[in-house]
Amino acid sequence: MKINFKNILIALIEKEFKSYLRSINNFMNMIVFMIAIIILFPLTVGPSEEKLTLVSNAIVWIALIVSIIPTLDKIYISDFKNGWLEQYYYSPLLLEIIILIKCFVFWFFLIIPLTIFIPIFSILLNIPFLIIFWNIIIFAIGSLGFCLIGSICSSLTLGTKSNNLISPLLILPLAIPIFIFGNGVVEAVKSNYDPLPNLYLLITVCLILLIISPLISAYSIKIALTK
Amino acid sequence: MFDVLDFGKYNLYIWLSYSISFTSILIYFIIINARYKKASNLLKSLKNKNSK
Amino acid sequence: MINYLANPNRFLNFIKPIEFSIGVFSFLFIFIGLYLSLFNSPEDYQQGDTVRIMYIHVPFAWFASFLYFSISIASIFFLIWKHPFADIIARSIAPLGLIFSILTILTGSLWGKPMWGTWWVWDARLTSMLILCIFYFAYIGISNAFPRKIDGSKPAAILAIVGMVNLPIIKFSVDWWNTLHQPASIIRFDGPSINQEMLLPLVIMLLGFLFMSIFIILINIKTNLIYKKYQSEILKLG
Repeated sequence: MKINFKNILIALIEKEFKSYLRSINNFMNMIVFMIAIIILFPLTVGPSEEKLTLVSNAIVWIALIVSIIPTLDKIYISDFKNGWLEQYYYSPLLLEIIILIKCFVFWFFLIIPLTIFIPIFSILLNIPFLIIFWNIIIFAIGSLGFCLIGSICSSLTLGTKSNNLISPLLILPLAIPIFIFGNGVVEAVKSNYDPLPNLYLLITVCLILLIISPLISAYSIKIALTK
Repeated sequence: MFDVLDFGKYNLYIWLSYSISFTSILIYFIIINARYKKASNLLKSLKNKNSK
Repeated sequence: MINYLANPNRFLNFIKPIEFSIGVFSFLFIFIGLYLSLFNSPEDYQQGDTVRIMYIHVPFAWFASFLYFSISIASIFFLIWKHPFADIIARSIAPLGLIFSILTILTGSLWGKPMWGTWWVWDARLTSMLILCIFYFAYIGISNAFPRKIDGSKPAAILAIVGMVNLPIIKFSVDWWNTLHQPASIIRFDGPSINQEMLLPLVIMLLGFLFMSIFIILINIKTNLIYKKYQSEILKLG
């Protein structure tokens, strides 16, 4: 096989996809977690429809976010342990580009399939169709930003004694703009305003992260490798 | 409930905020001084060992 | 000047004569400030006596964000010139900043209960202060999370620089969004809008807090330097 950029790219994506297929347990864990949260909320809030319609959108969001966060900080940890990251570091391809590909593959194969569950849960909670549509769009865009933030945090905590404690602390403050603008879109749709300005702001945040995150992650991976 | 409690001229909120903040700073100050003493003692004992 | 003081031994020699006077100054200013703010300042025509909480709330808030700013400046120095002393300075500032940010939130909610009627609102400035507090927690957590303590300093420095985004949001949040928190009244383009008799105790308190935080940070720096020396002595022993 000839070694050029395209072939390396395809090989990388294939390798990542296979590693996700082998650890399909993670994905099932996320789904079980989501279903547990969705069932627990109506039981604790009370089954009356008036109360549930106020918080139903928030329930779906919380279920998605809480189930993603435990997997976010494990983007690099297995690669770091079996030495793949070192190989990436010494390969002629820039580390930043590899990180970008890894984030995209993570987003495409692990997060995007979750969008199938948004309509199912939303129908269970009586959310109107227009808001379901916007929810899927916001989640698809915002979760890319989430993955990029997760890449920063997981690369910063490479080689720690126990990284489960710090990562949520790192992820939450950085992800707040995504929550705010995503909520802004839904609120605008609910009160019949134009949702596009908030959507553009959300896209802006994700684009800024798309530039910054690979640089920071590559820098901190280099630090982690030279220890 | 708190408004009923009368502490002379000022209400409870003022006293609480002043006392909490200054006692916590004082406690922190005592802790770092203890850390400093402990560290300097450690270094001294180690240096004595080394010179022997 | 910075080059001269970047050597730990020269730094220790430099601060030895002035350290005691900094401590005395901090006690003096804080005592005068306490007297002025509690007994010798006017009541606010709207808020009554409760306005006296401002004299500690504002210094706490200012120094919580200023200390974070200095941590990130020290981190930039550390990442660019790789000088270990900058890392020691950043590590020594962090716990004090954490305490200041927690106390800002505490005194703020004690002020908010009689004035606004609630302990807490999810308002822009309060939320951004809470995020600053979380950043302090994360900074301290990540700098101590590694088996060898030195390994944590570079990731922590990166985190400190990333968290700097939060500082302008704190500063301008009350001007950008109409919120419950009152707008800035001291640093403005058209001069301070605060009463002259209230400004004096506040300025004295701010000076006292400045000297106090320098004093505490100096003690922390000395302790951390001693631990560093201790480790090198152990290496010599082995």
